[in-house]
Amino acid sequence: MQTVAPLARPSSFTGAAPRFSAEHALTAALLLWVLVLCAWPLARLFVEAFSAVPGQPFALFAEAWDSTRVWRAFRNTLAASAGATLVSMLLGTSVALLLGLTDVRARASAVFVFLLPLLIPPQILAMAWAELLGPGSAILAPLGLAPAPGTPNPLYSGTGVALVMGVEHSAVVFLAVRAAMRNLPRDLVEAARLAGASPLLVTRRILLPLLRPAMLAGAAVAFVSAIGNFGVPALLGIPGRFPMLTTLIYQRLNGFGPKVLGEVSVIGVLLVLLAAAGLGLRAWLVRRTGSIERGAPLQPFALGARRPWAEALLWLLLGFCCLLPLFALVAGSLVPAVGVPLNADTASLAHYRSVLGQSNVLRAFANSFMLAASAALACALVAVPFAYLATLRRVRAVRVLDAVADAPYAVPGIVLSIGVILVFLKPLPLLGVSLYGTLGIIFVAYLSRFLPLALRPAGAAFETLDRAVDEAAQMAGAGVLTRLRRVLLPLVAPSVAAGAILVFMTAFNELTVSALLWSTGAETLGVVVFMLHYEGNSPAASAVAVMSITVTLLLAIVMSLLARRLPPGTVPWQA
Amino acid sequence: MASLNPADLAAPTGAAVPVAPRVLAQGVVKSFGLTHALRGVDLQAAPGEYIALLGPSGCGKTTLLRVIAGFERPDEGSLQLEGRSMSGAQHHLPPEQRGLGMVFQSYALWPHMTVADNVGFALSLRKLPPAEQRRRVDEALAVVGLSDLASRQPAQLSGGQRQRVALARCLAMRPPVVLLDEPLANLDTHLREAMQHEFRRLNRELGATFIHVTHDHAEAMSLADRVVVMEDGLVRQDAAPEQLYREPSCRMVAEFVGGGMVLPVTVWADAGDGLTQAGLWGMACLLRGVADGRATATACFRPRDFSLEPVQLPGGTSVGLRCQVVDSAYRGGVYIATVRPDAEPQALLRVECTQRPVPGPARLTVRDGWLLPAA
Repeated sequence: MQTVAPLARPSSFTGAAPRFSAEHALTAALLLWVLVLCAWPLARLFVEAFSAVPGQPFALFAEAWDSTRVWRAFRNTLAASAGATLVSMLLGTSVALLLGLTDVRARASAVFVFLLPLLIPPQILAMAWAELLGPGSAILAPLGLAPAPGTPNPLYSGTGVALVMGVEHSAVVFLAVRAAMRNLPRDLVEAARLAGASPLLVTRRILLPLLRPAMLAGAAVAFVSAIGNFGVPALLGIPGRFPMLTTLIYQRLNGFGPKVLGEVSVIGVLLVLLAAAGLGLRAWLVRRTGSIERGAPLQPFALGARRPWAEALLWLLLGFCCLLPLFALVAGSLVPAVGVPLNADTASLAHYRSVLGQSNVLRAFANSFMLAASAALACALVAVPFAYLATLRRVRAVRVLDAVADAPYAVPGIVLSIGVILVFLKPLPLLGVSLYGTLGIIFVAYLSRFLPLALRPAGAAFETLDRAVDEAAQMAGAGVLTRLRRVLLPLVAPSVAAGAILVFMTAFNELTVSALLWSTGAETLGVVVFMLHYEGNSPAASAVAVMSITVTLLLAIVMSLLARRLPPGTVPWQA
Repeated sequence: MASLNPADLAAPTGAAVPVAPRVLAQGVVKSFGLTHALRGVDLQAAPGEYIALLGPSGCGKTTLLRVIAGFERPDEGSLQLEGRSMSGAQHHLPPEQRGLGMVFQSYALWPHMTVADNVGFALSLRKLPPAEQRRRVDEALAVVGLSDLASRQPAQLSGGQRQRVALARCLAMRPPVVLLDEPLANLDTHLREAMQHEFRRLNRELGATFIHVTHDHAEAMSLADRVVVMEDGLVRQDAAPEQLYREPSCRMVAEFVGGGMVLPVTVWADAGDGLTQAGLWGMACLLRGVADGRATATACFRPRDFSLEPVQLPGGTSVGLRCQVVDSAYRGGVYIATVRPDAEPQALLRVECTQRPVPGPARLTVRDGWLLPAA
């Protein structure tokens, strides 16, 4: 027998546990952050809606009830969103089934192309579609398919709004169905095939019933996105005289200023309730989905001789829905003037030169870059301790905060803006200056709105970490800040960076939040594109849009390269 | 549990060929990229036979099963069922046209259908009259003893019950061949034994050929009429369980089945009757098997082939090899001693003893052994 060295005795434990540890301090700081930035604006919105008329909490609701304007926008919102959801569900589900169940080739490229609309903000997507199907279409005119010059753009209508939103949000349904499909074990399909079912029959009798909850859950999210969409109704609905709730808020506040804050708060509350109903439905569907035992993933069905036909159909669909509008946008920016046919001789970069000479465009680029970069940095910095405490340490209070922090991203962006105006219109306490009318108020709104985009990847990264990694550092004597800096941050850095890039990409081009918050000198890129289009200068608007989405697409490529080092699912468009 | 009329379920074929094997795989090769899952495998199964495909994970046994089912198309080789070609160079019949039954390791019950719907799915596809469908579903559920649970959802069943539903679903089709892919891996020991009895009984009563994939040699030996041991995409041995245990074909089979010890021996003389006189570290022993002219060979020994004697027998004589007893463990009824021979201190042998062995010096004798055939 070997002699065993005597065990080291633990040094006797003297001090009592500190009553207020560094972890507590961190939790308190996060609590303050979330309460001020996330909870307060939304709470203030509700307070405003119910208390604008003293003593009569429901006065403004009664007024809205009697208002034909509100009713009309409400009906339009429901109708367009329902139509859009139907389009999203059909398109998203069929592409997911085609890509997930058959052996069509070039699947990764197809997924990337289909998810392109995720990378492009709604107002630019709406512009691209308007360019494609409008009377001056540089793509359809040479084919003789464009509407006659002088006729109104067919997309400037409720149908147009529903179609474009439907295409835009089909990615959401696609992702939900694809995720559910990945969880289905192939045994279920194989058992049915041995029982004598052909691939088509397996799809109808086994797969579709099992995927139905995911389809509906995806559809619920698409519905919520449609209800809160501002870019598409603003670009297509306003010229088409098809007001929706989001554009009604915009037009009322734009026309009448802060005195209608109470009235628009009521519309905001209405939107929040609609969104909550949709998300509640989704949560119920997700909970109801029974757990299925995991197994080897599905194997695609061999299409055999029909494969070229399926591929042709798929790419026709993808080409029309996802690529052609972007080509039309680029073409529209190269046309020397509206109505001039585009060819090698007429193509010109004049609009690019012209917009780059405009001080408000250059200022908007600088503003959006600064706002997006600082919001990305701040959100990433907050996300690390936040996700650490919520995911790895499972601190109850922080897990609750995590749910609260989701709210500003779940509600329509324009509703959040109303709340932010309500809170920050008045001068800040102690400082005595108001953020209203400065870039500051947009920055605050971004911090609130985009925190979840940084939190999800960070949380996913902490989820994959072994708690023992943290505990070993603790045993070695490292305090919480030291552990975060020296042990945990290096481990989750790729995911945190991915979250920061996501925040930047989304904030750089967004319009929904800044539409209500901008002022002269404090414009964002989204606002400039919107304004140029609104003034009828669509080639210039297209040129700015092309430049701004180029930045987004380049960042998307950077993130795809980063994807191998990230937990699966962090990069939304990855195949 | 109810019993079935065998004539009812055994698929009556036209009997065109006198005795066509129910399953006949010849020279099956299957690769996945750079992985060679099957490298030329033959398999034959007679009607009503119970065959176990045994081997460590990654040996190709599951791939072979999936080739038979039709989920994998062989790169080379052919597959016939009851004399009809299923897969060959030119053609490949999809699984839904083969009419085979399969029990999956995960059971693969469709979670959106009741037990009865699961069992009746194949029958509804065959457009049987509803009354006949109901009768066959009831019958299949009765066979596995689950008649009361027909209207339950799979999520409401225990693991053993799900296993039985999976079996009933497969039997309701009355398949000529039942494929079992590690069907007992997710069950506890007690249930596993009950299900083993169930499989044997159904195999006898139904006349269907069972092909059972497992990595558990005890399960394979106790269930099967014939065990096919696979390794590295090849069949190492295809034999009845008794022969597999007594006469393994190679080192891998010797070690994988029943934990045989493979040791080097010197061939001394042919002893006739298929026996060989050989030396193990200089000690004479009589082994089954022939050397075929080899001077040195390897032999397989089981713990019960060895015995331990005291260093000195009464009368001062001694037999066997000097060795040291290092350790011993009780294995229900017998002790297994761990022994280190003085002649080869690197080797550790396991020896079965009826009494607890005393640690320290002892002598080792050989009662039996099997000379492995030339590679």
